[in-house]
Amino acid sequence: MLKIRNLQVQLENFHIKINELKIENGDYLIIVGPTGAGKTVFLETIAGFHIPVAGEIILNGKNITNLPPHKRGVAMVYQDYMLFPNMSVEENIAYPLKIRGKEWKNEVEELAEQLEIKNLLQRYPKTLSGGEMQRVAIARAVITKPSLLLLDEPFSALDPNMRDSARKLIGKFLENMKIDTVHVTHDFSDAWILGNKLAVMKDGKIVRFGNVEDVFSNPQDDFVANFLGATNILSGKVKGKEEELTVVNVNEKNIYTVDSAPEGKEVLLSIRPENIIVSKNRIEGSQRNSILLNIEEIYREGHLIWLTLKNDKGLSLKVMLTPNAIEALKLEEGDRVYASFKASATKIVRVI
Amino acid sequence: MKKQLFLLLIILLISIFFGSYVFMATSIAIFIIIYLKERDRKYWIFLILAFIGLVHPLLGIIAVIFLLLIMEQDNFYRLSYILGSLFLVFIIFPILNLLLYFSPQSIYDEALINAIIVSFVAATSSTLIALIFALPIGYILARKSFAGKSIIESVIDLPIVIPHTVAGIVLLLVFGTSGIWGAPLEEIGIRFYYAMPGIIVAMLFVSAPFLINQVKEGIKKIDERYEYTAMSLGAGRFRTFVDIILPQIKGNILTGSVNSWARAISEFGAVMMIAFYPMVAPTYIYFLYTNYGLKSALPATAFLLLITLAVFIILKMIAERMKNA
Repeated sequence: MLKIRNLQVQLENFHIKINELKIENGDYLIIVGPTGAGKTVFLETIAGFHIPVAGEIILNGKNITNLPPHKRGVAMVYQDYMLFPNMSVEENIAYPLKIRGKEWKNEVEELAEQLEIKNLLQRYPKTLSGGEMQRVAIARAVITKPSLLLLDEPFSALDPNMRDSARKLIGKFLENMKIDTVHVTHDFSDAWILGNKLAVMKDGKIVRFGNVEDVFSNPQDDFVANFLGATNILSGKVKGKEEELTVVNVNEKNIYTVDSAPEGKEVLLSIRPENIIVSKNRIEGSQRNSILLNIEEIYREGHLIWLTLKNDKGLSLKVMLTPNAIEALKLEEGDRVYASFKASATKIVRVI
Repeated sequence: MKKQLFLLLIILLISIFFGSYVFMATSIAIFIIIYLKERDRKYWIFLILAFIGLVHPLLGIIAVIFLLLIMEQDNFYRLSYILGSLFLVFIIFPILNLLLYFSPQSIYDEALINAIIVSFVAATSSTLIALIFALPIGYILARKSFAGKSIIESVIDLPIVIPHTVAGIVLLLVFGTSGIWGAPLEEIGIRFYYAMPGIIVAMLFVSAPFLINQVKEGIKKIDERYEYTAMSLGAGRFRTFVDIILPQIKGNILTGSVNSWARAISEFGAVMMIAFYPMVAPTYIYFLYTNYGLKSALPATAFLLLITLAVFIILKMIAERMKNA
């Protein structure tokens, strides 16, 4: 459990101010934000590399604000892993236990087994691939079962087709280890696949914090909405397959998606507002999904118009249109319209 | 053979100054090596031109220039090679020339051997002391930015620019028997004036900058996040320094130590000012030269040169190997 109150960090021409942040045991917090928002500095402050000018950091009930880094039980993994070049893979992983003068042989082997790096133990870091380095770094960080694990963009140095498998392996591994984790990323898939909490940082502040689904579906803030590209999150149950497509029942409506998930599972679907077409009559096109809804609200934001569509079963969608489109369609609040979107624009973001 | 061109030019030019016969022999040897490899007729012309060197050794330059012209086509490189090799001849020839005066008899010169021992012991001590201070100073300079940093960096380089006799007097003033540090230390039995500690202090003063700068550069190249990571894994500051920093800068430490040791062993001005006795090797050479003339000083000088060169080259090779490891 991590609690942060009124934290202020002042570096040369850089300022961080976190009023409140709390993560519970078992939480996996994802932090996203534009470059220069202070995400890495924030992690480094939790780890103890920067001394805050005010505020407190409480980890499992203990105030660690003024503890030196090595006494905090907070392990940090950087984007480029920082494996010690003068040590073999085995020595790297064993290092935290060696410092503490503990037996390490079995622990190293066990972790290496789980992370599929057992055959690399005698190699040196410079001979490893990005994915291998990453798993070594994770093994080294968790070998002492730290109270908190900090990951600074752990997947960004991997090439995209490796990212998915790495995410799955690491995600499953960390879930088994049950270590509270704070993970900084640029990639929203990390949030969906690994996280349960999401914080959005901007200019050294946390502008939005909550459950991943809540933050995505209800950004509450223009910046957050723009940054995340506010999306529609629908929850439903997988009914089965129909011509290569997965059918998901959402509030008694069938929605088709190209992503697949096992039958009977609860899933979260994401449909981006700009991918939805609104029309007064049912349109003939490649849009597999077409739902009749009421226009609940029309409001303007900058150059765009947002519609909130709802039906009496509780299904709700946000749609983004240009002012011209609204005019051409002569839309008004209370109208009944068809919301159409492609099965390929409908993503299963999480299987519960 | 193009890769060896620079080396060949230097060897040929040096051989000119050892007279016609040495030049001829060198030219023939080089001709054979090249011809065996390349079987090109134009190298015969080089060999024929080399015979002009028999008239006067300096005429051998014609053959050398010819070799340069046929082996390198780029005018810019031609000019660079010729100027570069002339400078290297300026360094190497005098040294080789002195080694001609080497005589194994020097081993029986007890005063010389003693002076060399004093030199080695003092230079090694001064390098070890320099290392103790270079690690923390190098660390601060590599990691921290602070007020007056550039001034402090200049101060560290100061001993390199101060004339060495001036450095000697500067030290003598404070470490002398009535100096502000020398007097109280003498009371507890540590004497600098005309004593070993004085030699070490003088060597330390002039040689430490080389080691400090090497350590600083080495630490600068190590990403600070290695240290952060080690600390987050449970290593304290000192442990991190020993486990993470030291192994990664061992090449720099060795190079810096070799340079610093070499600087210490070659120091004459500052050492002589504070302690003429016990004599270090350079002081002994100076003593021979001023009292008995150039000729008497030559064998000892050649002997000292040979030993320092050998030690320097061996240490340098070890340092390079460690740096690349």
